[in-house]
Amino acid sequence: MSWDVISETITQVLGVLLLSPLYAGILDRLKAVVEGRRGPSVLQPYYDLVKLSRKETLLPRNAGNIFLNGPYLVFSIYLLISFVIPVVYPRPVIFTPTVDFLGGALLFSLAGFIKVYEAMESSSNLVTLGVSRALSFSYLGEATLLTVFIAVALITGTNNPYVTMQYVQSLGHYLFLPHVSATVAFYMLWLFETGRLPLESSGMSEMGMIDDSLVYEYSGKGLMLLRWGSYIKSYLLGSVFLNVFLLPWGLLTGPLGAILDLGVMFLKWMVLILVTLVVETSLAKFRLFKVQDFLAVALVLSLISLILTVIGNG
Amino acid sequence: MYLQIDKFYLEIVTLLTMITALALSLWSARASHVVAAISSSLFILYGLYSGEFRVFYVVSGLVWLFSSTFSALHDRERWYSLTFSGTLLGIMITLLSQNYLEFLTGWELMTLFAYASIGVYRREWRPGYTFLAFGEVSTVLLIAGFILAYQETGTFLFHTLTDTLPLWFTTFGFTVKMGIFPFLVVEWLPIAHGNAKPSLSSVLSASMTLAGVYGIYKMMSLCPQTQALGGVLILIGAFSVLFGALYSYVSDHMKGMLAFSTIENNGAILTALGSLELSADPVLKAFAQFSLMVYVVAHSLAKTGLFLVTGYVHGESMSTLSTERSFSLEIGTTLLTASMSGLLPTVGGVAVWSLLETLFMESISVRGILGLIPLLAGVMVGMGEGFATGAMARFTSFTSLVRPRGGERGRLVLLIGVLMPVLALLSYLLSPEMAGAASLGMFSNSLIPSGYSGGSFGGISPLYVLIILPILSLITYLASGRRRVRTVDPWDNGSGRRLTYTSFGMANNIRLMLRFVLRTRKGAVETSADVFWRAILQLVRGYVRFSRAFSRAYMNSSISWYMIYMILAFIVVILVVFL
Repeated sequence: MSWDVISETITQVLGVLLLSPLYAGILDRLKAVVEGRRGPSVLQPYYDLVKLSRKETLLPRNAGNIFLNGPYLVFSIYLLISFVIPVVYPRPVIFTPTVDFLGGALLFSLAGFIKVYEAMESSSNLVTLGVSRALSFSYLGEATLLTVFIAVALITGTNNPYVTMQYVQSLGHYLFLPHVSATVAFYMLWLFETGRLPLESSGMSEMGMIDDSLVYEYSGKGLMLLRWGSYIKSYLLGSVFLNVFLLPWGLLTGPLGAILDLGVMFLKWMVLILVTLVVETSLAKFRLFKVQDFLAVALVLSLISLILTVIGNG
Repeated sequence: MYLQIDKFYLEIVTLLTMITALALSLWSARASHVVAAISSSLFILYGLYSGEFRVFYVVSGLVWLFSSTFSALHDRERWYSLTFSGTLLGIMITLLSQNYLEFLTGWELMTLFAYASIGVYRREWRPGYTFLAFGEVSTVLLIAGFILAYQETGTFLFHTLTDTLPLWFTTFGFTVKMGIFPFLVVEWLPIAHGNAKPSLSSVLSASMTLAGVYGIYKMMSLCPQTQALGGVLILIGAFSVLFGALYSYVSDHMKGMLAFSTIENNGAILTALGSLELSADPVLKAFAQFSLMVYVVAHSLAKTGLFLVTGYVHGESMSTLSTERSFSLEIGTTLLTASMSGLLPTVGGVAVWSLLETLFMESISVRGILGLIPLLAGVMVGMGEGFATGAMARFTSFTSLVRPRGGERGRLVLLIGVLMPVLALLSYLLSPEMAGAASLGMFSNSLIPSGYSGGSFGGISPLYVLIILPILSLITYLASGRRRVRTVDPWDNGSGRRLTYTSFGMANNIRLMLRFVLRTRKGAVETSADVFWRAILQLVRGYVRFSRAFSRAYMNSSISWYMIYMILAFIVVILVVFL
C-alpha cells in the first residue's frame, strides 16, 4: 500500500467527515434567503454539533445498550461507506473492495435498521409514531435504491461504482435514456432519504416528522453523532448522485488531485443545492400518504430504466 | 471405503438414536428430548461427511439440536416429546432416503406426527386439519411425479431422468409444503405453524420446509435443465417474497407473522432454485447455487431462533402480549432479525446480496424478453426486503425492546443470534470459488469474475465489514470522549403516559396505504384480509354452484344421459389409446 493511496484515502474520508455539515448549512441559508428570511449562518450545523457534544446524555427510563451505543455504530457505518464509493476521489482507496453498489445499499439499510431499533428502545409514543411512518415507506425506498443501483449496473455491466463512473463519462453513455431515467429516480430518492420532501418538517412539530422523530429522545453526544451521521448520509448519497449520475466528470487523480477534488465536489454540490432549492421552495406541502405516490414514481422510473436496458441488450 | 463404512454406521446409529428418543417419550419427556439432541448432533456429524447435500444435513441437524435443547429445558409433556421426535424422525428419513418409497415414508411420517402435535397442543383440530389437508395435496403431487419417474426408469431408486415432467409435478408438490403461492395461498402455513409449540414451530418452519427445498433440489439434480420451470419458479418465488413479507408486516399474531416471514424466505429460496434452473452459464449457475445454500443456512437458523423467542412470551397478539426483556434476548433477537432483514454483516445479508446479484446478472446473460423475469423478480425481492425489515423491527420491538427488564434468560437465542455474523464469515466456505467459479470477500479484489464488462460484476466482503465496523465504532467512541448520562422519563410532549402505541397501530399506515391489495375494512379497528384466500374461496364457491347446476340439469338420474356419457367416455378412451 503506497503513501499516495493512504493520503488519497485520508483526503476522501476527512473530506466527507468535515465538509458534509457545510452543505446542509449552505442549503438552509439559501432556503431562508429565498423565503425572505435572514437565516442561520452556513456554519450553524458545526455550532450545533459542538454544542451537542458538550451536553449530557438523557437516557429514557426503559432504554439501555442499543439506545446508548447505537449512534456510535450508525456513525461508523456511514464512515465505512465513505471508504467504498467515489464521493471525493475517483479511484479506489483503502477498503474500497469491501462492498459494491448493492452491498453499499445494504449498509445504508443496516444504519436505518439500527436507528429504528435504538429509537424503539426509548419506548416513547412519539418516536413509535415516527418509526411507524419511516417503516411504512421503507419498502418503496429500499426497492428504489436497489433498482437504481442495478439500473446503472445493467447499463455498464458491472456493479462496481468506480467502473460505472468511468463508463458514464462518455457522452453517448451519459445521454442513454435508461441512464437519464435512473438519474431522475435517484434524485427523487435522495430527496426522500435525506428528509427533503416538502412533506417533512423538522423541529418540535410532530405532524410532519418522519426521520427527525427517530432522534426525538436523543440528546448530547448521541444526538450529535446521529445528526452528523445524517449529514454524512446526505453527502454520500448526494455525491454518488453527482459523480455516477448527474455530473460524472471533473475529478482529478493523485494526492494533489485528491485535495483539488474537494473543490470540484464543492462546485458540483452547489449545482445540486440550487436544483434542490428550486424543488423545495416551489412544491406545495405533501400529505403523508402522498409520499408513497412520490416513491412509486421513482421506482417506476428506475424500473423503466431496467426494462429499457434489458430490451436494448436484445 | 473405510469412510463409506463409517458413514453407513453413523447413519444407522443416528436413526436408531432418534427411534430411541421416540420410544423414550413414553417414559420421560426430558430424556426423549436429550436423546433427540444427541441424535441431531450425530446427524450434523453425518452431514459433515456427506457431499452434495452437506448443507441440508448440517443445517437440519443444527435446527433440531437447538429445538431439542429448548424443549429439554422447557417442555415436560410426554405427548409432545412423542410427536416432536416423531416429526424429526420423519424428516430424517426423508433426507436420508435412497429411493422414492423411503422418501414418501419419511414425508408421511413427518406430516402425521406434525398434524398430531398441532392438534393436541390446543385441543383445536382446525389448524391440524388445515395442515394435514395441504400436506396430503403435496403428497398426491409427489406420488404423481414419482410414478412418472418410475415409469421412465423402471425402478424406485433415484436415477437420472430424461423427462422433465416428474420435476414439474414434484416441484409443485414440494412448494405446497413450503407454503408457497399459488397453492397455499398465504393462509395455511401461518395457521398451522402459528398453532404449534415454539420448538415444533421452529422445526416446521425451518426444517420441514427445508425438506421441501431439498426435494426440489434433489429432483433438479436428477432431471434435465428446463428454463421454463426456472422462469416460473423465479416469478412464483419473488411473488411469495413480496406478499409473504407484506402479510408478515400487517399480521398481529406473533407466530403468524413469523410464519408469513417463512413464506417470504421460502419464496427467496425458490427464486434461487429458479435461477439455478434458468441459467446455462456455469459461472452463474455456481453463483446461484451459492446463493441458494447461503439462503438455506440463513433462513433455517434465524427462523429457529425467532420461534424460540416466542417461547419466552405470554400471549399471541403482538399488541397485548406480555414479557420481560433480558440482555441475551435483546441482543439475540436483534442479531436474528438483522439477518432476517438481509443486512450485512450477517449471513442473511450475504444471502440477499448474492440472490440479487444472481438475478441481475441473469437479466444480462439471459437474452430477450426472458431476461425481464429475473429483473422483475429482483425488484419484487427488493420491495419484500423493505417489508421484511419493518416486520422484523415490529417483532423485536414488541417482544423485547419496549418491555421492562427482567431476569437473565434466553441464552440459547443469544447463541443462535451470534451465529449470524459468524456464519457470514463461514459463507466463504460455500463461496463459488470452491466451485471453481468466483471469489467472495477476500481482503483485496473481492470482485465477482463474470462474463460481463471485462470480467467483473460486483463483490462484498463480510469479513472486511466485520473487522472494520467494530474498529471504526471503537475509534468513534474514544474520539467522542466521556459521556455524562442521566436517566429520565421519555418526553412524549409532557403527557407523562407510558407507551400506548401498539404493534397493530404501527402497521396501520400500510393497511391504509395498500387497502386495495389488503382489502382493509375501515371500522373501529383496521383489519386486513387475505386476498388470495378470498379468491380461492370464490373459485370454490363458483365451482360448487356450477357443479350443482350441472348435476341438476344433466345428472338427474336420467338413464338416457348416462348412456350418452358412457358412449362419450368410450370414444375418448378409444381416441386416447390410438393417438
